Amino acid sequence: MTAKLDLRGVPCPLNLVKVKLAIEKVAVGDILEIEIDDGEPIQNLPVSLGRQGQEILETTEQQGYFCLKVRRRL
Amino acid sequence: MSLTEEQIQRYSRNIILEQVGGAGQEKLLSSRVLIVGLGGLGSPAALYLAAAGVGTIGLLDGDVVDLTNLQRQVIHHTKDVGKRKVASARSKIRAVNPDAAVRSHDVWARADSIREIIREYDFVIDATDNFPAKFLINDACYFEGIPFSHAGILQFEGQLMTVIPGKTACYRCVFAGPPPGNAGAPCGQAGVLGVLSGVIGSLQATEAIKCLLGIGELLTGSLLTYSALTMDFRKVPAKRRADCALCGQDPTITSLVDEGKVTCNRKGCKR
Repeated sequence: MTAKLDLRGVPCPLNLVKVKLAIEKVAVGDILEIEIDDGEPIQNLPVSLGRQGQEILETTEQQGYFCLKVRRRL
Repeated sequence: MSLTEEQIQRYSRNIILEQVGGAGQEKLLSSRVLIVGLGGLGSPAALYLAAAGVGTIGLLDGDVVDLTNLQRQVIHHTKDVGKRKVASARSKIRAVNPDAAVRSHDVWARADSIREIIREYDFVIDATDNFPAKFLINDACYFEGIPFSHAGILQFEGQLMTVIPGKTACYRCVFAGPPPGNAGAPCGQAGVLGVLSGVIGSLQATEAIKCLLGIGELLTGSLLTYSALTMDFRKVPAKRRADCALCGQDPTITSLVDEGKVTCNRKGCKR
């Protein structure tokens, strides 16, 4: 199962809060696909998610934003 | 229950904590905490619990705001002198966070009514300023099985302990009963450093939040003492006593009694 979350235009650290809330709603082992802005969000979010024990599977650059695939580990 | 956009922003610094998250925040919003005493300890406790998003906050105090209170009772403002403390505190809590529903109990803590009140709550904060009330709250929480935070402050010293009734040491395991006569001088006579109430009352709010969320380790089984003059925090072990008159094997206290009146009649004191 893959859930999606568009966080373009959502600044740090609110984007992390939203990801946390979304991750709580997917099952452990499932994947959450998030879209985040370039700049602070792409610099901070993967690090913060990793620190919280989640697994970043893939980061792909799109036109002016990034798509992140995160697997819920905890 | 799901969090609104505004709540997500308001509580973002809670939600982001691994031990809280969205589920923890929703738990807080559906929790009920009773604060007995809206003085020095109750003021910061009420404000922080309201800010944290505790959904129902009960306020129990039969007093009015006095000018001598304002040096430490930060929930009451100068314009509130003469107002009922529950009304004054309620307006500040609502101003801090409209999510917090306030239930006002404009009465003194008494043996004949306190059990009915506290059983409506998940956690009780003993923020009272006299020994009879502290023993009454301890006993009432034991009979109702409600966890609570005990605290007391005087001059430059404070103390704090959390009690899970029937599981961890109660206030009577540590202190058998109120001290005789005037041994416990009220703060009007002994003085109290205002900020001390902020330190200890905030620690009580911390314990309430941890207990509601089921995180960390509660301050049970030891009495934390704090000296503002030396900045020493000490944990004094406090074990359950088999001969405790309340929670021991052969209890002699089997119902609530008022342990006596507060005799101080100075301005700004009880009666």
